[in-house]
Amino acid sequence: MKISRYILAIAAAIWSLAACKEVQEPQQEEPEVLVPEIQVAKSEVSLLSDGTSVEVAYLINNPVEGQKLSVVNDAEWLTVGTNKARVLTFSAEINETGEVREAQVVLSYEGAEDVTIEVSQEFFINPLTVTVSGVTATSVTFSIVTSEPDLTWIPMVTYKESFEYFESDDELFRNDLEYFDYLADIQDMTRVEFLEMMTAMGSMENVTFDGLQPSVDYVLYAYGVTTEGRRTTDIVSAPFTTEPPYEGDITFSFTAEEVDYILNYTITPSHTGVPYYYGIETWETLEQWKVKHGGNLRDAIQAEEIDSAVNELLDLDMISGPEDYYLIYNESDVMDWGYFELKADTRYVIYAVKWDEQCRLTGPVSTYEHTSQSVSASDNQITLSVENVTQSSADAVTTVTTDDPYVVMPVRKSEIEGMTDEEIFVYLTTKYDYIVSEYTFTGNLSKTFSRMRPDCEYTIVAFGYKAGVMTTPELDRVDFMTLPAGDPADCTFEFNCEPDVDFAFIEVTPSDKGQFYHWLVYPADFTAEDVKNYLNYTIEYYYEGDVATFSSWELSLGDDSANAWDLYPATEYKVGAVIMDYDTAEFLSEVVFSEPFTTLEKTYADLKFNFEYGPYYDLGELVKAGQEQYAPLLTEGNALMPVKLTVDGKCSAFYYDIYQNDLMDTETYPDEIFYPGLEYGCTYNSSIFVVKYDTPMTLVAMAYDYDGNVTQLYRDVLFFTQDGASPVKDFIDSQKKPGKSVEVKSAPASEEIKVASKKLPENRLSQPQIQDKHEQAMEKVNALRREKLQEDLKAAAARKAKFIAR
Amino acid sequence: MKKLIFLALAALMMNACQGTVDPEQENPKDNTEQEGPNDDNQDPNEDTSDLEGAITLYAEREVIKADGAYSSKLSVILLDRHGEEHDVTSEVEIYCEGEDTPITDPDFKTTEEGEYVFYAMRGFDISNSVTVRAVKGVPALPADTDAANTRFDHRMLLLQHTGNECPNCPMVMDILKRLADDEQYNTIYNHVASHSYNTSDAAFSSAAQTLSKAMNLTRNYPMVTYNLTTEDGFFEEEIKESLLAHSKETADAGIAASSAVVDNSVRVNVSIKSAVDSKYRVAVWLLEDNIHSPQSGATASWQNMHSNCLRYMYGNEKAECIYGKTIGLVEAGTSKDMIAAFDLDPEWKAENCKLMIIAVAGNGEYGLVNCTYCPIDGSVSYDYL
Repeated sequence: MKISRYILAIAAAIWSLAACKEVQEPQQEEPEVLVPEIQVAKSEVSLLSDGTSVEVAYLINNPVEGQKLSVVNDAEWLTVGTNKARVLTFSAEINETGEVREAQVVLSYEGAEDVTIEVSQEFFINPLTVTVSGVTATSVTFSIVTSEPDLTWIPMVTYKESFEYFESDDELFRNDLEYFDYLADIQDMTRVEFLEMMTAMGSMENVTFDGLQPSVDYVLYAYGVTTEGRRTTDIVSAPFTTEPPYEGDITFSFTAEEVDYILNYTITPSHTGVPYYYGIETWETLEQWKVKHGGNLRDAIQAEEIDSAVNELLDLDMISGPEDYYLIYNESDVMDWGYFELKADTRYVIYAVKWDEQCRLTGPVSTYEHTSQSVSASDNQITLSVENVTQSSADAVTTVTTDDPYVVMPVRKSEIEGMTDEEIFVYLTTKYDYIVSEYTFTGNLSKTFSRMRPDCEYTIVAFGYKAGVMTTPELDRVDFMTLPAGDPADCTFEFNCEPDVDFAFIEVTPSDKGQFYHWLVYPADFTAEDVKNYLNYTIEYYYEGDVATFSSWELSLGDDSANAWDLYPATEYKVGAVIMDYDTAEFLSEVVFSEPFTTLEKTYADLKFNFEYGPYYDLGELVKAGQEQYAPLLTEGNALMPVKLTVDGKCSAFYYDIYQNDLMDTETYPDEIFYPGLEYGCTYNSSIFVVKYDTPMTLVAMAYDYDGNVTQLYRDVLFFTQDGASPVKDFIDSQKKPGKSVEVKSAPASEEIKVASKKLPENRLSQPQIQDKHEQAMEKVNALRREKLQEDLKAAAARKAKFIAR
Repeated sequence: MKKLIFLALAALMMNACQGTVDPEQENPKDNTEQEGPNDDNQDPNEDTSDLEGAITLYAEREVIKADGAYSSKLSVILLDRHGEEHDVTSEVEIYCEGEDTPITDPDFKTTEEGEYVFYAMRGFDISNSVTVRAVKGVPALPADTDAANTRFDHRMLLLQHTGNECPNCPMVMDILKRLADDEQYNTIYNHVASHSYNTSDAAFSSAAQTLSKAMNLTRNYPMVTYNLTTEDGFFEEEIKESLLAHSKETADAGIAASSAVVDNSVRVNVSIKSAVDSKYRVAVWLLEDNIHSPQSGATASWQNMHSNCLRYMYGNEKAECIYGKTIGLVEAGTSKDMIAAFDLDPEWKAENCKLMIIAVAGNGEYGLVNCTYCPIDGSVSYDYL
């Protein structure tokens, strides 16, 4: 080829010179009669089995004006593109026939001999197979064999029901891609970066996914995928069911590593899949507990750690029973993310013990001891001064001689009156243990501490601090007194109110910066008495009489500004402020109101809803008719009602749902209370709702335009009875229609089924709650997959890295 | 066989004749930086007919005016087995997809709007395809009123990484407001707000997310970064120091631009005039003002209204979007222009939009040379000193 080109090139050069010369001295000879001829770059074309296109150049020698190349292709599977002059583009779909296929493409040009191009395409061999080789209560072990050593692939485990939910490989893959993108996004990675981390390459044996639940049907599946997110193989899968949990006693092994007073530890149970509880506590505390419980460590943990926590959370209404605590703290697999901030030179015990769903410890306690490192004394010389003392603030200024950490903290002088340095240290680091880190600094510092009381003695202390130890020999302290405030009765307020549609920006400027005061946006008809009643009610019922917490959260000092949220459009409000005693919540002044202001009119989106609904179908009858897939829904409602929605206008998003009760009264149920919750409603054009008989229900919808404006709420009250149900045959037939299958594909019925079991809460400002078992199930699936992907595929990725390193 | 050789020679002969009579042909090495051929070791008079290697087609401009005069020069580079590049434009056939005959002038121009896909053939070798988009309605550049002048005012770029649910962001908003009111600083930088903290922000955009991911490496909010680098700042004094450190008396390049909206598509005409010999990239960003998005932690009501918010970055690849498209070498005292065209998203309010045009030196490192705002349906002239 090179030689022929070389000859051709030399000849060309000579010829071109001759031709150029010929222009200068035209020849008189008769021109030769030239015959058209077809020349092709290659007469045999092999297409890849996956259907990648191949371009072949051709040339018509001695072309005749007006004539075109004719291409005859004898195979239906082959496409020959002629859109590019002098180029034939051969393309075919992936060859899944199991046989090599061949075709002849004949090129014809009048006056020229036909040229035949032989085209062949190898058949596609699925390049990926998966085999499950072992299953335990919480894990599956599998092997992947790839036909090509450089094939990159990704394995996944999901619930069987979730796997079967998807009707095609493409649907499942699209869902996976969305999931990968989500995971990549939350880790600030691109899809490519994420898939580079998560994909494995070539054949692998004994890859293990753990973290599964016992006695659950799963499907392991895998497919080839490029790091750009292009699927390169079919999805191959293998169903499996995890073993039931081990019923005997279990033991635990531990590892722990301390780095800079951080303990990273792991707990490995002898049998995964068995629920257990674990924790870490100082040895000293555990010994104290044991003394209270007859030396029995398990009883001590049960009473002092678990039962006390459960009772405390129950008192706070944060859980409804021990089973909630179990859900939060239960572990059943290897726990390899243990993290604990240690105090120096302290003996700790990590423990783990089997328990049940009622949080009852049921097995022997396994323990592991670790003593933290000591802290060296610091020679940091901390010099503390206090400057710019006002009625409510002071600046702490420190100069230091090393980069060692130290604490600077203000405290009421009376709190530490008469204490030694050591006593002050213990007092502060015990009482304020949870916020000491926020007051820990390095280097020189100038920091303003605010929200101090006027006319009050304060002390700012400074001391070296590391891992719970005072590292400097002594504690530096400066006492000072804040400036006095004036008479509350003399304090005036200026208000700046800038209303918007559903919020207002509020600035409150008191004349006396040393007064604690409360301010809030109130309805315009509120009186001073109403305000005081409201505040008293708030303290009594919302804060349960805890004035200290009320004052800490609610009272302002000095100038304040904020956006006031949750206002209604086109409604008159005013700001009310009143000075209150920080310790007693006593009103120290009259309530002062701003001038009333009115929030802006809301601009609604001009969009029109086109709903199609009406017929509904009895669930029991559907099941009787052989539609067993709907049987689980019998516990949720009585009938299925298909709903279709299209929106006229420039709609950027729409949402709809069905709630229980007649919600047509806009006074009782204003639009605003629906908007936040409705964003969790249906977003597809077609949905199927589970509805109940003999109770009113309300279909609601909202939509947004491209300016972000929402429509007024669409409402229609519905009432369903068994007698009114349509023949289930209509529903079954509608699901079989070809036209329907397209819709179902784009909006799968199973995903769209919503359980209209919602009740509007009594508080009109709360949003309707949505109960949807399918969503909950999917969330479980996603949670599992999130964890599994990140934790278990790291092993596969690590293997891949090792292979590359070799 | 003889006939075949003969016919091939005929085609080569014609090209050979044409190839020696075009002294005005612009050296294709000037076309592009990364996307274009290498500048070095190319002799326009070199006999390349016997060389073998893959051929690559380049277009001088991706977007041209459909006025029959404005052109995009097509060139073909052959990479030989020694890794050296050779300009073989004169000896290849360049086709436009869908046409039976090769184009006669590699300096492509047209009066018809559309996307034109080109490929080249050298014997039986087929090049890559490139697309040139021809558009109408491209506004004329403002007149250069001081053609001999190359002393340009310099503006650095200050990127604010923020979001309406970022409770501490009003701190930096306050700082930037003070800077915007301070004549010592407000004449040395242009501001762009990258609302990337939360997707529910009305000013959020995927472009902002891309930009902040690339620049705000610490992922801390609020944060400002400078001149398309990852150098960041948070405190007022720190920001002021960085602004002064990056400010320059003059810029190596000036920017003139004009834009128009045609059928909901933005047409942008940009010219980079250089004071030095340098390659350049040109970034075109769309910004939107007065986006109403209630600010968490607002200390003043103006903080609920956001301006200079990044909506879109023109380009395909990330580097193109952030640092701009390559326009190649601009010799000292000369200018080079680029056209951009992109559609407006219905969620953007065109009347509140403007452009940020950024000139980046493309000499191996992406150094921001200058930047300027350009109004939509308006223009900006070179800012001479």
